[in-house]
Amino acid sequence: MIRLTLLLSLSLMTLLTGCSLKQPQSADEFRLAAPTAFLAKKESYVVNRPYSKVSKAFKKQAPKCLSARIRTESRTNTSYQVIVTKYNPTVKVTKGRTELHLQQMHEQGVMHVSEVPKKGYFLMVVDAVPVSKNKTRIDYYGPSMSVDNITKAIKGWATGKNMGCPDLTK
Amino acid sequence: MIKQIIEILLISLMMTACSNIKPYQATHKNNFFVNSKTDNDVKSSIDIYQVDKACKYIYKGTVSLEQGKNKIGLKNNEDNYLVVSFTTSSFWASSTSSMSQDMMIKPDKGYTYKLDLSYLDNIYNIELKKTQPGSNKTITIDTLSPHRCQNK
Repeated sequence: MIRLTLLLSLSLMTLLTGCSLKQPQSADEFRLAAPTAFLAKKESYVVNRPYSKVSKAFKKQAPKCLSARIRTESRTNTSYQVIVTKYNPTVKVTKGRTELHLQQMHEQGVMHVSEVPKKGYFLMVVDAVPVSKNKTRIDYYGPSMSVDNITKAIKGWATGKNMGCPDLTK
Repeated sequence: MIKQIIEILLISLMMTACSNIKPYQATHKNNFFVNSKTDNDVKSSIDIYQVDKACKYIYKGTVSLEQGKNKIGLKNNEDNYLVVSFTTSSFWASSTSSMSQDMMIKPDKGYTYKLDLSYLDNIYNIELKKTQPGSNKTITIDTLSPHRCQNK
């Protein structure tokens, strides 16, 4: 499964770049590129929780759960491959919005053919925006598949129903 | 048939003997209570290391956790380095995957420690609490930034 995740995220990067081989270098560029890219999407949902609590949960859980270094080893009869990926989460609070950025820095086993942002290629951007006193809208930009554990965990933090961490090895 | 069973048993014994995993033998009073709740195909365990004054990590053994409550005795007033692992096995795919989280704990004499673990549907939770002797007051301990051993 992790191989599939890596493959899909690498495909997503390629598709986001198109022919120009230019990767989104910022969250804003990623937000613009993701909705129209193949295997990527923009999705929104509203949770019945005050914005301040959602923002607090993102600030607490993202560094705890999404900051990890994953080593994937795969071998067949004819090949052997090791990929080391460091996941770098960032939570940024701007006026009226809390942004959660998740970036992947491939430290081993992946050739970088385009400029890599400081903390790695963007995997997803999740924004929490207040809708009313007790409602918050979540805007997700990222892969349309293979990151279910991460999106499920983020939804748990947003709703407050499950503050668990996703198993990033899956 | 009997020959096959004996062969399987011998192979299992050899595998166990060759493995570096040894069961943790507690010589201390139970002060660390673990409540584990996982999916059926997930096994949880804790590797226990004692950390000496030179910050050397000495492997003391592994506790394979049962579903529900588990009792462990950790040495008081000494650094205990714990590695909690969740291992998922897929028999048909002949594969296993494991994820771990480490923590350092220095039990205070008389206090009890409660670790709540869950791994359900690829989402895990680890929460460590400390209870004062003779009271119900509990303190949640941050497992994200455990104190690190420093040469004394």
